[in-house]
Amino acid sequence: MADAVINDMSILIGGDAGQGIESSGAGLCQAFARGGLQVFAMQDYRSRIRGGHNFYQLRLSERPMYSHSNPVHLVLALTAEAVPLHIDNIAPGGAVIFPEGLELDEETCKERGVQCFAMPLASIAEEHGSRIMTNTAALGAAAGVCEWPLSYMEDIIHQNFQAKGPGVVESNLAVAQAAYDLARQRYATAFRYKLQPLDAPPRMLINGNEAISLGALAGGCRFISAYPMTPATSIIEWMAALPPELGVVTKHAEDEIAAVCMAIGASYAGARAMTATSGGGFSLMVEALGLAGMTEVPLVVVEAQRGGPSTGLPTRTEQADLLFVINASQGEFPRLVLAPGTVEECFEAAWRAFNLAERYQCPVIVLTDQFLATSLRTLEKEAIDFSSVIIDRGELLSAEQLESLEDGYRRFAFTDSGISPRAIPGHPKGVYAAASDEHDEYGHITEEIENRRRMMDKRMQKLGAAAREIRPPKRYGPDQADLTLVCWGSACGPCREAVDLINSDGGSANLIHFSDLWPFPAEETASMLDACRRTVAVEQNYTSQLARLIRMSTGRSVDRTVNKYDGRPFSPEDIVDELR
Amino acid sequence: MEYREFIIQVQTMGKLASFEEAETATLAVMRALSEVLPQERARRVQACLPSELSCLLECCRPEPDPYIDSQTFIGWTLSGLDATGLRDKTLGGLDLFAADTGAEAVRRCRCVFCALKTCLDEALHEDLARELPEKVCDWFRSAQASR
Amino acid sequence: MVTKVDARTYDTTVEITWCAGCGDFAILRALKLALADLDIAPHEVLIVSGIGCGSKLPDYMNANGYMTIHGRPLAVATGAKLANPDLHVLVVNGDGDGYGIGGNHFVHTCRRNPNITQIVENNQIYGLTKGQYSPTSDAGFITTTSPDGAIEAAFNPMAIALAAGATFVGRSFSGEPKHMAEIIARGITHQGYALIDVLQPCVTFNRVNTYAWYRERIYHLEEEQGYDPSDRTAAWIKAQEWGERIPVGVIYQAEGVPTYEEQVRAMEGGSPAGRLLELAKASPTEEYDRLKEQFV
Repeated sequence: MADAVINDMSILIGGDAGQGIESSGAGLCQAFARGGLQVFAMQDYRSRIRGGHNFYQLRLSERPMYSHSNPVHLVLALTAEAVPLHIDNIAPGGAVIFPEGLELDEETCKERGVQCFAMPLASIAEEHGSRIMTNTAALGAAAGVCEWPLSYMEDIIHQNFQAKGPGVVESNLAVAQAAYDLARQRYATAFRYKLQPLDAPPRMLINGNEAISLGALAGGCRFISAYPMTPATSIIEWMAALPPELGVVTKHAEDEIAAVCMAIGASYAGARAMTATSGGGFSLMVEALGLAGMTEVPLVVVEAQRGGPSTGLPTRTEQADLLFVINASQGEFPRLVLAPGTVEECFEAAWRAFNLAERYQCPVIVLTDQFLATSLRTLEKEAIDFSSVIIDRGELLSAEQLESLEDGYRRFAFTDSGISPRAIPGHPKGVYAAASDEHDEYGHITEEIENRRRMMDKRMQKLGAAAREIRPPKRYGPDQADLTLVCWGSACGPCREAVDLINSDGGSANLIHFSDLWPFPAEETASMLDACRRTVAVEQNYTSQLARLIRMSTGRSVDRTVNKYDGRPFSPEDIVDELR
Repeated sequence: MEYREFIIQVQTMGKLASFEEAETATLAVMRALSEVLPQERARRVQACLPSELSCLLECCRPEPDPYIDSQTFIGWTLSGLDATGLRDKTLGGLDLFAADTGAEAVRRCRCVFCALKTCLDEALHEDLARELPEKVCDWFRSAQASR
Repeated sequence: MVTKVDARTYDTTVEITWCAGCGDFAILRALKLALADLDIAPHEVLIVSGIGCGSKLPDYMNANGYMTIHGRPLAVATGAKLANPDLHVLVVNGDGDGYGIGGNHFVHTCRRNPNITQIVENNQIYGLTKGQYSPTSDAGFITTTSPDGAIEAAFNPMAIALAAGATFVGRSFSGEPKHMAEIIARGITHQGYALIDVLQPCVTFNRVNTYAWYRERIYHLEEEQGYDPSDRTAAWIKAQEWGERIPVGVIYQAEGVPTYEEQVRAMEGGSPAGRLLELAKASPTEEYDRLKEQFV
């Protein structure tokens, strides 16, 4: 056929909440990944159990991708609403597969060069299985028009429906086959976007939450207490599903305050403990954050941002909690904030967070967002390298060291570094009481002036020590460029793809991306920015929080900002359009 | 000694503002004593007291709680002492005057002990002292009978 | 009695800031006696408190202690117990901390049944903030925040604990340190969550619920013929009793109920704190690599 496009397309599955979009989308991703394609998939869901439009958008390619991309080329529309919602985002030559009988505005489609592929999805489903298998029919049809071998999908059907019994598996297989054959026969010739399997080593299909969980596990975390909150819930659920032999204690607590306090208690008693939540849950945890900071108990908190304020957009993404987590809780005490931008960075940030927390005996917040937490990416298995993981417990007193203590143990002893050697409770010579009140070296409550000054100095000094381990922002793209994008966290994926698009289109751009945010790497940032010609901060928030942070820490201002606060993640094309 | 006489003696010795205050302190100390005196010892004390006071020692247990200390003992008296002032507009709640109440309570307790010792045979004094918790026994021993 | 641990081992020289006559002195003493009686050494116990006069107790004891934030010691204690179950974990806090702001954690801890003993220093008032009414203040109690008398009915911790599934519900009186020590020891020995509500006078701010007030009302369940603490229905009736007659002693005890920690499968092979000591030496990277397969 004329100019077929091989292995470079995006597929979107759209329907109502309650139509199984998640299972269908995930299943499709797996089918393509198993066939050696690189996948990037993002979800756009409403926070309703039933009703309202949800969609799953997959991008397929032969090269690794860091973002979804617009426009899409094939839409599986399970409801009539799906078409007008996405029509503006379908490339000319693209197509919509929809259930026969659905009222579609074929006129508009024709004007846009979008083809309408009607399919008797419901009747195929009913004939070979049951109506609930309409999605399977849609997936089969998608494979058919793209001429992607059905065998990959069949494997996924076996895997995903195994638990429901052989009858269900057989029916789904039959439905898929029938839809595949019919779609291929009717429409394959008219559809130029094709998918062909590649010979590639097996890859992982993994999202940010899963990568964090793996990193935490590898980093020695054996306690997680949390309260379900979108989009962080899957972290505790994944850990709760681990084999009990691994010894990870998980506790779904009665509320977020209990969750963070349990983690603090567990950490005080010698475990590596974490909690995971979103902005609203973190708001509840704020007082306890201070408890950890004041009593110098290591704590790892994963904050997966979502659209705010208040309940906001529960299933959508935003980057509006940066300044909040840096400043949260009354008074001043050291904390670290890491904001990984990719799935690989999530894995590393997780185990690194525990080392930092124990080394500096303070809270470490791993700040992600819904886009990073839930978007799936194919990743080489080697990218998650457990042998690279180090467990460093900082200044932990061993039993031998405690034995040889001559004087009474001072948990909060004044030291040059500000870090006081820590005893885990249980040793006869390591007995002490910690207080959230201001306290002396022994932990006893005191308001004495000199002690207070020294204790504040001691605690804050740890921040200075930690600053040496903070990584400066990374540059992506050419060393010199006309325009430098500046971003943090998950925005790095779309930004780097935007930079590639700009450069391949004759422009000149690069990217400075921050993934360690507090203590802020002021010096390196200042020198990097000073060497730039024009800078633009690209952030998923209203007030340009990174730009404000940069200015507060270095005095440098960016030249302009691109802000997106509609709860939908940046696409590379969005960014390029804004910068035109 | 008559009941009124007892109270007035406490009031005078303690330079207390009213009969009622002296009465409150006396009743409190007697009740505290009933917590620490074994029944057998209490009987002997009761015999020396006016009925309004001896009845307070009625509920002594055969073996009193050996762990009652001076704080618990004096607590009975402290409940009757005014330790609060006006609304505290700085910190909230009521302004606190508890700094001296401990010493004041002990002082009043001593006055009651003085009056008590006056009623009791001297032979009973040391026996009684031995039943009292740490520090309380010292307060008792150092209290001067008025005869 | 002869014990390996002398109660004085728990003494410190830290200046105590409680008012003279405060019931907390006796509670502190009883706690030390109970721990000594059970041969528990200072390094084997962790006392977690919240915020309040009584929550300063860990500061006045030579033992592992953690004075946390208002209302949250049960959560912190639960985490500590799960991480390091060899520690005897106790919670000591007041009625406001435990039943007010801590109410949510209180109810859930009752049904969770961790092996933790909670001693609530219940003086029916807010002491540290100088005299406001508390959840256990009786209706009509006049304070700066209830100038017309408290409107709400008093919180009934015994009944709520029982209803929420607590396996040990007890009450004592700070005027009876020996009794307190016994009940506390029984609570610590009890396998599961033990609630000990200790009635204690706040001599400074509570002129109603004084030593005399409590003494006139309390009676000992141990002395009541035929009272069986394992009888939940009888316990329910006793739990409602308040006012003219207030029962002290063990109101309810259910023995043999598995603790929360006993049922956590992930703890069968070791505790999070214990395992970490091993992991810090060597990680099971092959096991982790196997986990990667679920994503392929």
